[in-house]
Amino acid sequence: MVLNLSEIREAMMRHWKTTAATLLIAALAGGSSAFFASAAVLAQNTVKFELWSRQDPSGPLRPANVVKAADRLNKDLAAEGSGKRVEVAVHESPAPGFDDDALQLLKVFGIGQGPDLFIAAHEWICAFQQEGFALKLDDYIAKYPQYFGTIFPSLWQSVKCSGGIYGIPQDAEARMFFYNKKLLREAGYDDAFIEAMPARTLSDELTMDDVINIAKRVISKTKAQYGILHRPNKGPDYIMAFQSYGNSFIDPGTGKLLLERDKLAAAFGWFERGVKQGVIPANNTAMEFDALRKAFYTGNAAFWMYGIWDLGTYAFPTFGLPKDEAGFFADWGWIAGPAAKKGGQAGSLTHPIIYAVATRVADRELAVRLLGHASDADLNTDHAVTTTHLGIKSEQLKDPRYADAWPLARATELLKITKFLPNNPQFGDLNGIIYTALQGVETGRLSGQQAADFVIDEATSSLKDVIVK
Amino acid sequence: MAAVIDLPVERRADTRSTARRRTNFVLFLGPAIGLTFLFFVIPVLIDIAVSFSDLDRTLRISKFTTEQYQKVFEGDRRLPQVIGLTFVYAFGTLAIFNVTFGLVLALTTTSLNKVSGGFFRGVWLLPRMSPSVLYILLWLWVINPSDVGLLNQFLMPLLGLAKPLDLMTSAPVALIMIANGFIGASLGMIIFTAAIRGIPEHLFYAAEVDGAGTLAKIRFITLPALRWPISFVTIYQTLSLLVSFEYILLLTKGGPFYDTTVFALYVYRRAFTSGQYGYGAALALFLIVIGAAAALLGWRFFDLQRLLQHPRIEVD
Amino acid sequence: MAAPLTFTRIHSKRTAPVDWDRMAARARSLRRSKAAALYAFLISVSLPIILPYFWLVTIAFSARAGVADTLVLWRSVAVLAPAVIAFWLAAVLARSRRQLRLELTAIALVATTAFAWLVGPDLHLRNFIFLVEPDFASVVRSRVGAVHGAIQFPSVWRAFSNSLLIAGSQTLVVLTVASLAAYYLSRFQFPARAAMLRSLLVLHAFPVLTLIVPMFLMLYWIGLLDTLFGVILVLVAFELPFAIFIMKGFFDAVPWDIEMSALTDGASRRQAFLRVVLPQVRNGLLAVAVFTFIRGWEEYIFVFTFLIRNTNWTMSLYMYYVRDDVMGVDYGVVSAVGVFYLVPSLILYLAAQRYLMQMSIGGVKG
Repeated sequence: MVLNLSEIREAMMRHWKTTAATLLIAALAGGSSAFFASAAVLAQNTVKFELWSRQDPSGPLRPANVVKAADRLNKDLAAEGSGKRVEVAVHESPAPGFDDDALQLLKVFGIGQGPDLFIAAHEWICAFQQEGFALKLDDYIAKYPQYFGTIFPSLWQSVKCSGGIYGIPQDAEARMFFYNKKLLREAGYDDAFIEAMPARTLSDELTMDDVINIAKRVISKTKAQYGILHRPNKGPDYIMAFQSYGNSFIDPGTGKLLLERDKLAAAFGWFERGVKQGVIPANNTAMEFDALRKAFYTGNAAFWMYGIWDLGTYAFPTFGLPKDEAGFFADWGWIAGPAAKKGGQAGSLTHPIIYAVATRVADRELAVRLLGHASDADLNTDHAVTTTHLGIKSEQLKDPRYADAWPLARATELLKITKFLPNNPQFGDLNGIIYTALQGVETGRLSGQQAADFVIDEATSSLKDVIVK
Repeated sequence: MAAVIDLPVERRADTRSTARRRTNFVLFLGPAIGLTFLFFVIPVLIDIAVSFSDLDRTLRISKFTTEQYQKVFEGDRRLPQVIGLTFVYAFGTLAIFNVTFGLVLALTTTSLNKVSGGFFRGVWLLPRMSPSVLYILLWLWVINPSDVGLLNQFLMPLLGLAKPLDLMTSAPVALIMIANGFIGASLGMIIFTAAIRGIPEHLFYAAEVDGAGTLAKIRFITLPALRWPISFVTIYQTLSLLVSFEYILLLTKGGPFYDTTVFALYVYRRAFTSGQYGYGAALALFLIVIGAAAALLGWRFFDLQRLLQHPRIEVD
Repeated sequence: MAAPLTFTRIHSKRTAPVDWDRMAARARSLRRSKAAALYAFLISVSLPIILPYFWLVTIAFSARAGVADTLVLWRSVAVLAPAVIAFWLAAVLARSRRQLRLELTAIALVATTAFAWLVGPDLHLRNFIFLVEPDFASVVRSRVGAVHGAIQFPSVWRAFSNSLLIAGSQTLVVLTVASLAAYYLSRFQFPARAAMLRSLLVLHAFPVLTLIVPMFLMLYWIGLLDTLFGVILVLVAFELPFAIFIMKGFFDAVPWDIEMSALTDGASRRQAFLRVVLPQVRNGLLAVAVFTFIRGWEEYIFVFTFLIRNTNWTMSLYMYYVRDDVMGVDYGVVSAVGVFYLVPSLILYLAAQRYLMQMSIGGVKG
């Protein structure tokens, strides 16, 4: 049936009453909605912020706290009589680690599609700052002491870049070598030795090679398959070992990257020895995180070089480790990163995650206020106690939940000897090179010395301003 | 084939037909020419330009320099290893799988009856037809370095091993060769099968009557008929193996350290993982030149007469 | 060439009778052993391919609590392998069609009951949870212990439709552009024709993956980076030479008479193309469409490199990240996603099998 114009006209004329009614209703509806919309626009304008976050089971409250902060900020704005409201949309990136996520985010900023706010690992902030993607926050921080005044002063070190503050610390933690006391007992160590291990590490008596020896005895005398396990992707933990061997990676005078060949070779040598003695599995870098955690928490490995938050995120809920302090320390424990040799310096690593604001954000002050609310003590404590991270403000210590979380208290001891990763814009890339070399050492492709040479070669050819000694 | 009527003379005098001819040209060939120019010619030019700059992750060029080429020829310690690996991988996979095994498959499946032969050929085409991510997922399961890996489930009781095999760490190059080989064998198999089917049956009967055994038949009848297909597959697949890295990227990401990083993957790693776009462009240029050269070489294997056969008619 | 026929043996043994039956029997057994050897070889070589796919499907339908239950796998193999062998033997040894049909139905009945009895109870559809629950990763992880949040996957249907969009648009555009260009190249003479055909040859063999770096930069400078449109364009351009090649082969094979009669009847060249010639090359269009679609469906590397913000997930990316995140926890869901991803490719592949074998590779010598 083909309608033509004349037929349509005829139909309209026949049903003119209904046609007129429909047109009238349509006009009314359109007009009123336009009226209400404009009225709404006049009354409120909603500032939308996009928050870039990495999907991280060990930190789901990091983005969630910002969403909650939006409600709090909206209440504040209403109380002030401002017409602005904020809305937060979270974009989750599936990157497997903070390093991969930072690289991805840099690419996204590079093509001009960056978010308004982002969560990142602190050592990458200077890379964002150098390319002009991160906003300088000093003035805003000074303006809002109610949000930022009580944050631990030492944490600000982790967000400073060439004289300015470019991020807000979101949490802190401590990294250590977890160990399985049951396995050590099975391997023939007596309780006195086992219980003394943490203290001996802190007093620089227990060395890195001692750890290898202990692990070796465990795997030879028990059914455990692995001696020492570490993360299978780029990250901060293994840098603890490098720091034990004296690598600071930064030239104190100039702030440039510093690579010292023998110290690098010594550090890689530790990993080489570990693999050669069968203590570190050759395919550690190819294993999956789930497999590694399972191996340690089900008693198949002696040491696990990782961080305190693993307890709250995986050890307690998924693997059922005892949640009370006495029960936990009966069979499990941890030691700081041991010194390289007796009399050296034991250390730990703290890797704060930070909130940052992009330079392209429309309303800078509002963004900082939002992050300020996200850093409220109670929200931060939520994150800290559920995922066993350390808090950022001194008043959190008074929170009873925080006090109940004994892992946090015990880990705080390590904060005395802890270091941060250097805040050099190129450190993240250097870490990637170190990780590749680590993989080469563990799979037997490189010796310790060759790995050091590789790192220096790659760094000098792909990075700028690298000092080599 | 029906008789071809070739009208060699065109009528160009009519201006209306000239206009129509021109619009036809634009209409029919325009999109194709536009797309190929935009996506083949211009990228090559861009690549040449970028290789002389210092483009890095910031996607901003600050200066034009030849430092990338200096790096290629002097500074890069990984490059000799990468180039060596690429040759070993390309020619190894070609020799073992793409040509030889493809030939074996073609010969064996054509000796069976049609249904069975078709079934086995279908099985061997399955890897090529599955999505690459899925194919590699299956491989990862097969080589899983624990007891649940399919390979370990077979080999551990069979060979009485104490610890499960970890092919990814102990034999990564062999791994990528086999993984790509399964895919490559299928193309050779199809082409050789088509060629074998084209050999007249009576030749085989005559040879049998003359007393030729199976091997003699293959040597004296089948292989000579396959000379051109074998050369075609060799050239075509050499080129394809030299430049493809998708399966390797998915399977080993470049291997433990740089062990399975073939040249094309090396370009990808430098450009996209390390953010050194300028250096990647310089390396890619070598690949482009080799690719163009090999493609030009492939001319010889094409029946240019049939390809360029005179068009049927020239009428508006 | 073969050695010339020698008659010496027959001459010398002219008086001894030849035992034809024994020779025939020997020839038959020789043929059978050769066939058996061939089958043994082919089966053993094809097993590494058949088993993993079989494993994928079995685990998708039977894995519980994230662990691949190999017993189920071996039990189903124990049922299916004899069934296949029985089918084959029946086909070989059957004497009449009716007997064949009876035997096949009997075997099918026995196999199905055995399968249902041995393997049936273990089959379930719980691994296909991702089809209805986008946040299946959390559900899966919660089965093995409470975890506060896992990767939030977008709905699989979003990824599915994106993949469909990419593969479909690419196919449509390639078909249109390629058939237009191939028709013109096949039918018309113009000055640059030979050069164009030769360059097509070069482009067809040219390795497109080498251009990925400048492609990335070019898309960025045009502003099409991180868009599905950009990815589709790139894929179209890279498939084009191959498609034009194939289509030209098909157009060249269409007899001229039909077209000429249409033209003498007063049709313009374009109308002749649309109404008369295009229907003739239906097979070619189908073949190109299937290949291009499968290619677009599996596309991973361009999607991975050119889609930066991952807001536009495709099935290949979805599969990749599911494997990355969930594999350590739940094999079943990963294989279920794999089966879901594989099925369209498989269907198209089976439908197009005929064309694969028949297609000529655009004029290869010999």
